[in-house]
Amino acid sequence: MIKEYIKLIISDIKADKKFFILLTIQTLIAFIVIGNIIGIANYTNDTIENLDSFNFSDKYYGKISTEIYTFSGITVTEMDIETERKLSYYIAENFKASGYSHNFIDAGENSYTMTFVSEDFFNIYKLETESGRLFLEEEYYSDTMENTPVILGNYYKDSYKVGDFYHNKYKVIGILKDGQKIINLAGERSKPVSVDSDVLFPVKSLSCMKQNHYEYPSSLIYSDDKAQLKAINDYAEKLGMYPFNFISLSGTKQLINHMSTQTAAPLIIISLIIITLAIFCLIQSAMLFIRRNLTELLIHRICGAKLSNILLRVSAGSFIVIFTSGVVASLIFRTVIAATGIAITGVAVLLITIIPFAVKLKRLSILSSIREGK
Amino acid sequence: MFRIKNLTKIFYGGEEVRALNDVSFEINDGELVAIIGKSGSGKSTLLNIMGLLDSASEGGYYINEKKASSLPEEEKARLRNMEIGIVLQDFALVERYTVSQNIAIPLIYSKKNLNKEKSIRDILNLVGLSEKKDTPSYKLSGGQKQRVAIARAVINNPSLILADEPTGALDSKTSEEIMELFLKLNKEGKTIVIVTHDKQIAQKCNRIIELSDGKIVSDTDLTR
Repeated sequence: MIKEYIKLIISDIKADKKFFILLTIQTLIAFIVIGNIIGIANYTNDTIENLDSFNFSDKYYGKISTEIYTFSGITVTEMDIETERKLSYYIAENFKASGYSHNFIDAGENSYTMTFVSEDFFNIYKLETESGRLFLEEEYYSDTMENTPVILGNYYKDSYKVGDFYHNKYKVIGILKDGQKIINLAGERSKPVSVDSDVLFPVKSLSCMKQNHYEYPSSLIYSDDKAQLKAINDYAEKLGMYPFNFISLSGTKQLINHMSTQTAAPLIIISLIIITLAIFCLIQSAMLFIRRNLTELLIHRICGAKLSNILLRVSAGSFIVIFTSGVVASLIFRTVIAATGIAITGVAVLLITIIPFAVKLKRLSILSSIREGK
Repeated sequence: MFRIKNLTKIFYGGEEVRALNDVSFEINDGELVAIIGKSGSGKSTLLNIMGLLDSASEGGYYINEKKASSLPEEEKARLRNMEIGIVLQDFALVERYTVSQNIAIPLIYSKKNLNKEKSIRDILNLVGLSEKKDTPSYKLSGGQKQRVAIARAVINNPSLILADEPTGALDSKTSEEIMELFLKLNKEGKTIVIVTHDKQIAQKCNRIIELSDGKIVSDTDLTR
């Protein structure tokens, strides 16, 4: 007889079809906002976990990415390459710099990117080779580009083997393992970047780098003294560049948390408002349903319906609204964590909607209510 | 067998009201019992407790020696569905349902493996409403509505039928017809308890229990 009961539920929902469709849309919007909040929180957690997974000392500083760097309301999208190169030489000459630098090379038909890395690059990011080896100590700081060894990302493993020459110039001494990542300390935009398609060169001597117009690896600056960072800022200012903000690992984490909170706070308020309104609508719809059908529900009770049967019928509309919007929102985000968060919110909304009616229906005197209903 | 033992029901409102006060009696299978009394004598309260729609403050209500009054709510609902059929004065029909939909309500919750169509057909024949199967309930006369209510009460073949003023909203001719239906069901072996203030109706039963101020003042066996 479950079929008969389902028929009853379907006819109840059909009677208020338009209302339930609108409510489903409203709940869907709330779930999408919640999914975004969960996404932000998840991103924050992941990024911080990723930062922690590398061997960064808190004495390493990174400059906040110029792509998103804003100062006094001005957004700088592209820095002058030459000016930035000058700054990188200045840093190399005066401070202990580390990390990597990307240099775009246009070699006729084949353009490629060279990534110059410093000695501690492989230690910081815990990179390993699948075949071949890493750079030897004596291969760093050479004064010439001749006989330069190169380590290729895993993407190249089918095109090159150890011993081959990259662009007929650079001897391949190693192929990196698949799926390895590095991270730039660049504030709230910090995220791991794959090295699978990178071509790694050992950093050359400063004079060699200058001669070939390559930027010196200064993405990370090792400093015990914040005055040094100020000196770099002052020099950058002298070059007509916007002042840099340097940020340490712990500063990056704080900034990520701060930015996430700032982004999530309005979303939380919006979702709370929408969810509260949706709860009110669901409660009102259930209340209207009970008022309209009280006699019928109580007659069913007299005929043997359990309280749970009645509650199921009263809450079926709410359940379908929450279930449908929850499934659609989960499909939009397609992450387990978002789906879990949406499911938990959905169950909480359903319970908040149902519990008052469960208590009220349980306390209701069946016969006297039928008479009053009449 | 149905047994009421030292049953007391107290309502706590502004002041304490003893609707039933230490009531005890037994109803054997196949009896047709009338419970009579003035308004406020406690007869409807007694029927509510016997129908497991209300609980007693003290004492117990036993169905086949099983204390039904202290069963959990889910089990009470099962008994209301399988063992007890209830007929009310104002019919308690869902007006928008058809006759057969109203009659089928207990079947929705029943665990008995009944053939729904056949059960409804048989019961409609019994109450003489075969032609009204698909008629919406609001189109029926008072007498027809009460027949539907009786049909619904017996569709699950319960062992006890409780009727609260079943003729209260009907004219005398229709009341006679409804009583005939109860007598017919009783002859088929159903145990029936009718709460009424109509002494003529009560006289047609085998036994009359009279209540006053929540107490039994007389219990008369009319078959002797």
